[in-house]
Formats: sequence, structure tokens, C-alpha cells
Amino acid sequence: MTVTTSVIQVQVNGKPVECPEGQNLTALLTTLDTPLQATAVALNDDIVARSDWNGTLLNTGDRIALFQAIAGG
Amino acid sequence: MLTIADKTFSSRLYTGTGKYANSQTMAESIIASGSELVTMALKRVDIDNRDDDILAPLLAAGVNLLPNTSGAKNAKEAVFAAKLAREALGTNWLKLEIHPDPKYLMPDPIETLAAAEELVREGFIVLPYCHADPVLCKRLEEVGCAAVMPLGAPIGSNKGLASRDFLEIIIDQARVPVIVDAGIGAPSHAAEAMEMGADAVLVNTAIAAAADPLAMGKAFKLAVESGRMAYEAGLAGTVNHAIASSPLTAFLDQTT
Amino acid sequence: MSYVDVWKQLEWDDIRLSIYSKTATDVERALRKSKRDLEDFKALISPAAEPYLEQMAQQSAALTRKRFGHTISFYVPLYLSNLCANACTYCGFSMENRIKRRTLNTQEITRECQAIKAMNFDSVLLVTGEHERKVGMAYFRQAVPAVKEQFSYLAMEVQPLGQDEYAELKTLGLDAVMVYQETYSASTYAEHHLRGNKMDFEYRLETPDRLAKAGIDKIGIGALIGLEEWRTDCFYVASHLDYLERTYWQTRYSISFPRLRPCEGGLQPKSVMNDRQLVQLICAYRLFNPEVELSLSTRESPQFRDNALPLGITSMSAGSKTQPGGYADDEPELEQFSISDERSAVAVAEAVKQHGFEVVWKDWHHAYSG
Repeated sequence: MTVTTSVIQVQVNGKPVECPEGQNLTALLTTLDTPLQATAVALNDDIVARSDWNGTLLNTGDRIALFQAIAGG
Repeated sequence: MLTIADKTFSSRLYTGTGKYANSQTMAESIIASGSELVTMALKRVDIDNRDDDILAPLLAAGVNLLPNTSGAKNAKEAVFAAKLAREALGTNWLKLEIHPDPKYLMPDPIETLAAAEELVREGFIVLPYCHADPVLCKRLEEVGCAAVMPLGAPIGSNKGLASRDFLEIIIDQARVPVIVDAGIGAPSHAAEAMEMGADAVLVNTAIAAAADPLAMGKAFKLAVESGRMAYEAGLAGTVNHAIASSPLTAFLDQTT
Repeated sequence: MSYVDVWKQLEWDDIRLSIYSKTATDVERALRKSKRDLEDFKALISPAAEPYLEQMAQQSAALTRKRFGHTISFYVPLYLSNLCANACTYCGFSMENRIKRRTLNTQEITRECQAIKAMNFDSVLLVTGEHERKVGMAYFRQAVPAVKEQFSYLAMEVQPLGQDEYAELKTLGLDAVMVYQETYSASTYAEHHLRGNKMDFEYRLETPDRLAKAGIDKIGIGALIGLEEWRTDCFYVASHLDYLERTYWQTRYSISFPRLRPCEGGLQPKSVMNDRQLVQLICAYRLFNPEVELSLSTRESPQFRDNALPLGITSMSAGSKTQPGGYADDEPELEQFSISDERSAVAVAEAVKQHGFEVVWKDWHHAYSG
């Protein structure tokens, strides 16, 4: 018997993204091909420390903001 | 050698990362400039349209990172940006910049002072970008900023040290390093700032927008070294006052 | 952190040698610069600067006019008490001297104030010896508000107090405090301060820091010229001023340069400073710091004062009596030191006017802080 995990809808920087229910942040970032090294994440306006990414599970409707370093003066 | 907070630098030229054609040119120009501290911004990732990765070449070059809060319009946003930057880059060094005015990019003194105070409390090494206002610089110093970064002229204007009279006062009164940031358009401007006694300068547009950024990076390196050397060697000074009128000390010859 | 930490890093002999090795080139460079540092100050007070005195005076006068205009502030000392628990070799009030001791009571203070008001003064310097028990905070709590009621600006020159005490006196009307280190050489200091609390060199040295932290408007510092090699001592004063201005940037500062005068007790100065050298010093301070108040007291002769006043001076006392009760009555045997310019305030004001200056009796700096 196959186990199906349900899919939830979250928002990443304003864009709708589907991901498996109960996925953690690290997994989401990996799916999105985001370099883990230079990224900062805010979940529903609260910054999530890097050390907490593995333990942070996503729920439907979550708003994720991803920031990275870019060129600027 | 210049010490700011927990770091010591042999180069007094700091650089920005903006306005380069690509990140390879950026990295090569920064290396040519000898800069050991580089500032960069933070922005939301566009997952469909990735920006050039600037971090890998910079880390390979071995420079220190100074994330900035450009984009923040008030203290609250700046503090948020600072925490994001700390998470993203793993450094508590921060260039605090708040410019609610998108046209001239003038730094907001009130929001900057408020943000600086909070960020220092949260353990950041704060380098605030501000106008060349001597009193503001003393206030920023008092709330614990590790240096002050008064502007020479508006960002990107390349006008040089329009604020030189005020920079002199700031340099005279400061008890933390003074880094002239913004407006430096030519190596001669950088040399002038160093000759005046500034501890360092931050240059971005002048190098990135030059026809040959690598060569310009090197030119700035030499200018900053030369300006500092001149300052340490003791400049000869110019004659400022006309010697005039009747003798003031003749009365001393009558005594004794 | 206080000036004591800075002082500890300085070496008296190194500084003295450094001053004496300054050359004409160093002096010329200092004169050409528009912003001068402590090394320039050394050059300007060195023997090498003596031939450049006229040039120094011209620049010093120009700088002072630029910042202060053609004005001189007048103030007067009001001696409240000559009671003292210190033994200082150079002072008439030393506890070892057999003189009549007197401390003014409220009535007597009022009489002195009336006499002073009649002389037109509006800025007063309260002076006492150092007697913590009989002339301490309890006494000051009465005297300060009583005098402040009569005058716009009130300064004090008394024993060093604590930061909280200064803060309290500020609420009672205290505007400025003068505290002279006498000499910045700890060993020489020990030779001249033989008994009493004033023996504590570092506590005294730290006083301007406490004053600034207490928010006192103006702080006066200086050395008693003659106790030690004067050039080195005066360099320390400049270094002290430099530190204070950088650290407590909202405070105003004043420098005085009292030369040792004869007093009951008869101490001979270790280093004699002649009139030319005093002019050199005044100009050097002004060239080093265009904003600092430079104050010349009645220790100096009328002729010297009248001629030196355009060169850099911004504040003078006049018609001074250095004994308690000296304005309402007059008992010469109680003087702290004998003054040299005995002219009345009116006469000095007239002389000042003749030299093209206006006397400022009231300090308007305080317009909003009451």
C-alpha cells in the first residue's frame, strides 16, 4: 500500500509554492535550489535562525520570505 | 593598521559591490583594490530569477563581509534587515543605512540613531552611514557604534568631499574611527579624505562604473595609501593668515 | 575611564625632552597649519618659538577676534572662607599659617553680594579653602542658592567634590567649577601638599571628569606656574583639555595660568616664567584651541593685563579681594595671595574700553537653561 502525503500551499516571497505537508524549511530551500549558505529566512514575519530550520515544519498558508546577499554599495 | 571592534585591517580602503557588470569583474576589482572589507545588500530572493552569486567569489578572495541595510526606510525595517543579514552571512558586523528618500538617498538621522542604539544592544558591530553632522556623529558614538561613516557627497554623485568642513570637525572630535563613505568619485578625493585624517574611506560607484574597474581599483588603493602616508608624515600646511598691522608684543620690550 | 588613565600613559621626562627638541621648522609648520595638535602645541611653547612671538600674537589675536569678537567677560572672586585643613606650601590659607580664619555667614554673604552688585558684576566665582566639616556640602547648599539669587552666573573654586554632589549643586544654581591640578607631576605635587585631603593627586585629577559627568556647564583647569618646569606642566594642561573636549563634548572649558605670587609663607618658584613667556603661553593655547576661554586674573600687573588682553584673553577678574569679607570691609592680613592689579572694576573696564573692547558683564549662554 502506498502512503500518500498531502500537499500544502505556502507562499515564498509572495509566489505560491506547493510542498508536502510537514516538510521542514531546510527541505523546502533545497527543493527551491536556494544556496543554504548565504540565505536568511523569515516565516510569517519572524526570522528563523539557521539552527532551527530543520525543526521548523511548514503549515498551509505559511508565508516564507527568503533573503540573500546581493550586490550593493 | 586600522582596528575597528574585533578586526584589524591593513587596507584603509573599503569597497561596495554594486553597479558592476558581473560578479567576476566585481571580485577582480575588489582584489585589485586590496580592500579587506566589502559591503553588500540583502534582498528577497526571486526564486524564478536568481541573482548572480556574489558571495562565493568574495569569500574566495578572503575579504570581510559588511552587510548593509539599504532598502530599509525606518529603524524597524533596519533592525529586521540587520537580523536577516546576521543569519544569512554569519557576521554581526553591519553597515546601518536608512534612506527613506529614494531620490537623493539621504540618510535619515533620527531613524539611524534609534536603530543604532537598538542594534548595539543586540550585539551588532554597527557602522552607521550618516550625514556629515558632527553632533549626530558624537551621538552615534555615544550609543556604542564602532565607527562613524559620514558622507562626502550624495551617494553615486562622485562629487568628492562636498562636506569637507564638517568632516574636519567630525575627525577632530571623534573617539571612534571615521570612515568617509559616499560621494568619493576619484582617487584624489580619497587621498584628500586620508590627508585630512579620516581613518578609512568606502568607495563603490567610482570603481564599479569606471571604464576599467580593475585599474581604478588599483588607483584607489594607491591613493588611499598615499593620503594616509602624507597624513602620518605631517603635512606642511599653508599660510592662512595675513600678517598685518601694528606689533602686539612690543610692550614686552619695554619691561624687564 | 578618566583623564587619570591618559595621564598614566604620559612620561614627564619624555615630554620635557620632546618640547625642548622642537625646532624652528616645527614652529613654522605649526604656525602654517589651521588645525593644530598637541605636537604643534609643544613646538609653540618650546624655546624655539620665542623668536616667533609677534607672529604668534598676530594669529592668536585674529583667531580670538573671529570667535569672540571684541568682547571680554568680567567676573569677580568672592571668598567665602579661608578655613583650611590642607597644608600647601604656596598658599596663604595653608593650615600651617597663623592667620585669622573666617567663614562668612548668610548675613555676611548678603553684604558681600550687595557690595559686588554695586560694582556691576553679574558673574561670581565663590572661593573657599578646603574644610570638609565646617565648609562642606551643608555650607554650600546654603551659599550657592543665596548667591545665585543675586547673580546670573555662578562658579566655584573649592575642594573637589563627588559627582552626585556636583549634580546637586547644579540644581541649586552652580554653573562652573575651577579646579587646578597645581602641577601634573605627582612627585612634585607630593612635595607641596603635605597634609589634608588635597594630598590625593588622582582624586583631584579625576575631578573634571566627575564635573562633566554631572553636567556642569563649564570646567576650568590649569597649573600653578612655577611649581614645576612650566612648559611641561602646561603641556599637560593642553593634553587634559584635549581629552576633556573629546570625551565630554557638550561642556565648555576655561584655562587659567596663574603664576606663583608671593604669599604668607614665601615659596620660591622652581621655574620662573617671565612676561614674554606668559604671552607665548597664552598665544600657544589660543593657536591650539580657538574656542577655549582664556582667563587672566589680578595676579598680573595692570600694564601686563592691558597689553595682553587683545592677544587671546576672553575673561578677566577685576577689583578682586582675596580675603573673606574683603568687599564689604577690608582686612589685608587675611589675603590668600597679594594681587598685582589693584584697580577698581570701573578702572579696569575703562582700560578695556580704551583698548577697543567691550566688557560683557552677563553671560548670555544660559538663555534657556535658566
